[in-house]
Amino acid sequence: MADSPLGAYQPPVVEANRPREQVPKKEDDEFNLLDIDFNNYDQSESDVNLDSSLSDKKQDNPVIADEDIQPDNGKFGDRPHGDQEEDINMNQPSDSLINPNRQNMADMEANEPKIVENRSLLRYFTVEYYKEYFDVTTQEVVSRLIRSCIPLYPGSIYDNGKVDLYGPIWIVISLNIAITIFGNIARYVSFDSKDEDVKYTSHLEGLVKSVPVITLYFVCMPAFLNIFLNFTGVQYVGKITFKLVSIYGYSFASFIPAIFLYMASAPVLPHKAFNSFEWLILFAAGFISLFFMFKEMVQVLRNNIEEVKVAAAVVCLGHLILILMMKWKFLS
Amino acid sequence: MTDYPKELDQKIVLGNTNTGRSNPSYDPEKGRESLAKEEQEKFDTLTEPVCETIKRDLLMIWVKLTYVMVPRTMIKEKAKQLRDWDLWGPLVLCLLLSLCLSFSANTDDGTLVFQIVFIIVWAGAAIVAINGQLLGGNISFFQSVCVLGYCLFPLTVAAFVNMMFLQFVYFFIRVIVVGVAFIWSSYSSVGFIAEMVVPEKKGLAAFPVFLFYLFLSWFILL
Repeated sequence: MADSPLGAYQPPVVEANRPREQVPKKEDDEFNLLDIDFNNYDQSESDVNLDSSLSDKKQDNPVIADEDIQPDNGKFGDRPHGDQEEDINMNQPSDSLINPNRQNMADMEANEPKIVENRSLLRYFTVEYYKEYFDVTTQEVVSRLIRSCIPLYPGSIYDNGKVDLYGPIWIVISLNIAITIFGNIARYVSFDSKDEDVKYTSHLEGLVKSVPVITLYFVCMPAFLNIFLNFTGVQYVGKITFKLVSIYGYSFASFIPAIFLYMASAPVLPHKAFNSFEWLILFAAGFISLFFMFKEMVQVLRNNIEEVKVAAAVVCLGHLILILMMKWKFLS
Repeated sequence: MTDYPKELDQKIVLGNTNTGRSNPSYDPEKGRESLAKEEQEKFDTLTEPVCETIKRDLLMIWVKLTYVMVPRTMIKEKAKQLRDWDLWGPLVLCLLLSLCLSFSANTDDGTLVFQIVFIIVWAGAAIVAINGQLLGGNISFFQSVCVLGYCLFPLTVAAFVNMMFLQFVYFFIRVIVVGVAFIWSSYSSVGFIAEMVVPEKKGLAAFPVFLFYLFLSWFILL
């Protein structure tokens, strides 16, 4: 739209004009992070890169990924920039704009969810707002599930597509159903039926107790992490990030095989061994899920700020409480 | 009071549909769209006898059931038929299922079973329908709920059979009966749900349906 980026037009040198035009720009530079990014982004862009794929980039895009300028980036190799939502500003806003890996910008632009101009609160309640988070194929979801159960992969699980919410939501629902069904089957199998008076009755309290707890975990923990990390230390550039919700949901994926193993081992093992085996697989599943989460959040954890440590401790504690509740309340 | 014209008498007795024109009978095979506009306006359910209305609604439900239950090769017929969605069938089936399960469930709390099944049927149908829409499906919310409700029919039959005849039979036979019902339900509803999304996302749209019927089947076996 504009003929030239800001500042290219030099007004005629007149006494009245000369000092005033520089001052507002400087003040903007100091106080408005978003404007800084936008202005200088344009200026340095036009100098270096003649790639036409960037010509249709959106003008109101405040997202800059500056993961590459960190000094210890070498040991992580080539991390493809699959996600847009975590932009961790390392307190050096002006340095972050001179981005050496410019050819990844096009990929990042392509993967980014569209920014809607209308910013009312009601848009969060429509189906259309969330459609972009369901834009995955069956193949991608299956591969993400497998990788989240066995977190020994390079890079991130979101390398093959966009951040999705389908996986997390259905993993949480399947976890609830698995706890109910497999827990009851295990109870049925290990029921001591020698006593004629006591008849086997099914136990629906597992369902009624586990659904609120797990759903609360799934909703509140990422919200807490989002708000916590947003206000302290690590800065996100102004959007609600569903990536944390997605990561947290995929981390529950390792509990489902654990509960299946629990049910499958119920007829096989004697009682005492079964008890310790149950603790073993629950803790193994918890450990795998925490490992997966930390692997995905490697970007955030490189900030060794105190708040990040507190957040990590809260997540670990949450998982511990979940494991204890599973053992004692849901599956007994 | 005795001055009513003869035509009005006829109308009151025979219902508004028999006013000398050709009978614009409601053909459930084609749905409401087949009626011409003025016939639709004259299709006044207030002036016809109650059993006519009930018979027509029951016929509608029955036709939908046969369309959904018997696998048909012409998917377009199915789609056209089910576009005329109604929620009576799902409600009746859901109530029957919940009642059967709450009578025959092997827990100490029958009412809890009724509550859970009822809520799961409606909430589950809603969630699966929203999931289909989020994945980019081009079907409306109520049509999905309608289809999922009608596909509960085999599970309702299995629950009824379970309650009446199979209480004291080997567990294995109950598993087989419920398994057959589960496969029948899933097959007939997956065929409908999967055609409304792109082929890459078929598994994603079908998995929640499978989960929904699995949970209800487990309840029957409870």
